[in-house]
Order: sequence, then structure tokens, then C-alpha cells
Amino acid sequence: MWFETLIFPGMVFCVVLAFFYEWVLRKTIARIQTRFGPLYTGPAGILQPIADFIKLLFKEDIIHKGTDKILFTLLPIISLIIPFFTLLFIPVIYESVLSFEGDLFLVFSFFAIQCLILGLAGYSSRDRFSIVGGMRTILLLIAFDISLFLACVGPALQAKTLSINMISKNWFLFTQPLGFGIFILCSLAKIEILPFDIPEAKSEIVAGWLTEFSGKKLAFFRLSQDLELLSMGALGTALFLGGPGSLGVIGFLIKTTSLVFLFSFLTALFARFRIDQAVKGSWKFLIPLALLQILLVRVFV
Amino acid sequence: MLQSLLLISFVVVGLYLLGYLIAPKRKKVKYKEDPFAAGMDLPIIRQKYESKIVLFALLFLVFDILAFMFVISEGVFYPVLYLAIVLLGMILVGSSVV
Repeated sequence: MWFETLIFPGMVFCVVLAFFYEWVLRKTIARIQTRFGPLYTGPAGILQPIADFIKLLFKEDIIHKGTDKILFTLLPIISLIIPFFTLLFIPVIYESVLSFEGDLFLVFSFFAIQCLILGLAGYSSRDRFSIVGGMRTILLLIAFDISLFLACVGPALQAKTLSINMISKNWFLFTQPLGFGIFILCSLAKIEILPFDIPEAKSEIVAGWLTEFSGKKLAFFRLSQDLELLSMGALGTALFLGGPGSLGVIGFLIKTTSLVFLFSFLTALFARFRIDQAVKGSWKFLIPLALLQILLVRVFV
Repeated sequence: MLQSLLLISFVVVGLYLLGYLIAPKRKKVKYKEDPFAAGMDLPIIRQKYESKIVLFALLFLVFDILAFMFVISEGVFYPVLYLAIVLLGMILVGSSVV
């Protein structure tokens, strides 16, 4: 049990893979924009995310005046624990480490808690940029959480089970392309990368809810965002691409990496939406389309 | 399940303490403890969230937990008990605010 939780396919494996995917994301976006991206640390800059993490651990940790100290200290820790625990429910080698009938619900409640943590992180900073960022996070992520959840109901309905292990036995990409598209869009909002990086829009509100965090707290938040990227890729693999399949870890790696490539292509292609455009888009278009997908599954399958 | 959660929590808290050990100690320097204000001299704000959004987020969280309890429990007793306690709490808080 401890080996599976801590080393493979638990924490160590997830951390290595999360750093690797951050590198893939940064490098792909940079190459599309004819930049070099990470270059010096390790071959082709592959060790850059790890170097960033270690550097941030060594930095001075500043808590400024007027901060809610307890929340400010606790939130980075909780925000790192939750994605690690979530990833144990998603199949990496043939079966997931932990599972029960209905773990899809549990994973989604963790996603919702994660979004509230980011909002609270902005609130606890008591800084104008952080508060605006936190408000935007809650508005955006709650709007997109609902459509994400509705998009994932389709595979569960077709597989007639709520356990991610059982859903991941079949491919649902070809029977539910609409749901898959909605899932990809909502994942971009969930990871807060470019078309939906409204909560940390660098040219508008410095770094949003992350503004006041420094040192190890910033390192923890960065790692938790990388893990979020990994968990969205892994969840997409499990729900729509047939999970690890007969190849085991290799199948998982191929499918997840291709999803991360898709995320980075979309990120490089689009410009940032305004907050009202993104929220309206989710409530007016994505949610009705996701409901239509569920209806189609119910009628035809 | 609880065992895994505890293991993960220990490791993460350990990593945090490691960061606490290896990072330099905080020094009191003027202006360093002021919140970031883009170069302007702005006071610390004590602003609250707009109450509608907080209420919405709270309801979302409550019903998330309710859904989770429906999933893991056999009957409807515990979810309904949970909902009753939450609704009672809401009524108490709401009446005290009004």
C-alpha cells in the first residue's frame, strides 16, 4: 500500500510526470511561437521545472502585513495534498490504486474543493490584485466545473457505472465527440492556461490570486497546478480514450502525452477571453451542449 | 483510503518543513512587508467578497458533499441527516444576519 501511494503510481511518479508535462507545455508553446522555451537545464531544458521548484524552496518566504496567516500557510499544503489524492483514483497501470463504486463523484468534489481553495488563497492575501484574482477564479471555475461534470456524465451513462476503473475499459471518444470537445475546453479553464488564464492574467492583475505568495508556498502552488494538468490529462484518458488499455503504463503515457500536446496547441493558438465572455460562453453554450450530449447518449445508445 | 491520505499528508507537510529549514529566515525590512501595489502607495484593504458569490460557492460545496454521501452510503438516512443539519445551520446563520 505505501509503495503504491508514495512511489509508483503514487507521489514520486506523479511529481516526475507533472514536471515533464510542464516542460512539454512550455516547450511546445514556445516552439509554436518561434521561441526556444526552456533550454539550459538538462537536455533541451527538460529539468527546468524541477530546478524552478528547488530554487523556490530555497527562497525567503514573505508574509506581508494584514494577511490571514493561518489560511495563508495552510492553503498551499492542502492544495498539494488534494491532487495527489485525486490521482490515486485514476487508473495508471491497468487499475487505479484506490477505487469504489462512485469514485467519479469523489474526484469531482475534490476538483470543486480545489477551486474554492484558489479563491480563498486570493482572499487570505488581502491584496487588491489577489482578491480580484480569487473572485475571478471562483466565478470562472464554478461555471466550468458544471459543464465539465456534465460532459463526464456521458461516459458514465454509457458504461452504466460511476467507477472510473470500469468506465476506462472502453473508448467513448467516437460515440461522444461533443462531450470530448467540451471536456477539453473545460480542462483548459481548470488548469488556468491561456484562453482561460483570466484569474492570473499577467497583463491585467499581476499574477491574480498568486500575487502575494513567495518561496515554498509559491513552489507548492506551482506544483499543484502541474498536478492539475496531469490529472486532467489522466481523467480525459480514463473517461474518453479507454484508459491505459492492454499496454498498461505505456498506453497511459502515450494517451496522456497526446492530450497534453492538444492542450498546448490550443493554448498557443488562442488569445485570452474576457471574464464575461468566458462565463457567458460556459453557461449559454457549453452547458446546453453537454445536456444535448447526455440526451443523445440516452436516446441512441 | 484514509491510510493513503495520511501518508500523502505526512510527506507534503514534511516537504513544507524542509522548505522552512532550508530557506533563509525572514528579516524585518521596511516596505518589504507591504502588499504588492504596483509601485503606488496604497493602504491594505479589508474588503469582503460579494455575498452572492460566497453563497453560491457554499451551496455548490454543500451539494457536492451531499452527492458524495449519497454515493457512499447504502440508504438515505445519513445524507438526509446531513442536509437537515446544514439547512438548520443556514437558518440559524441567516436569522442572526437578518
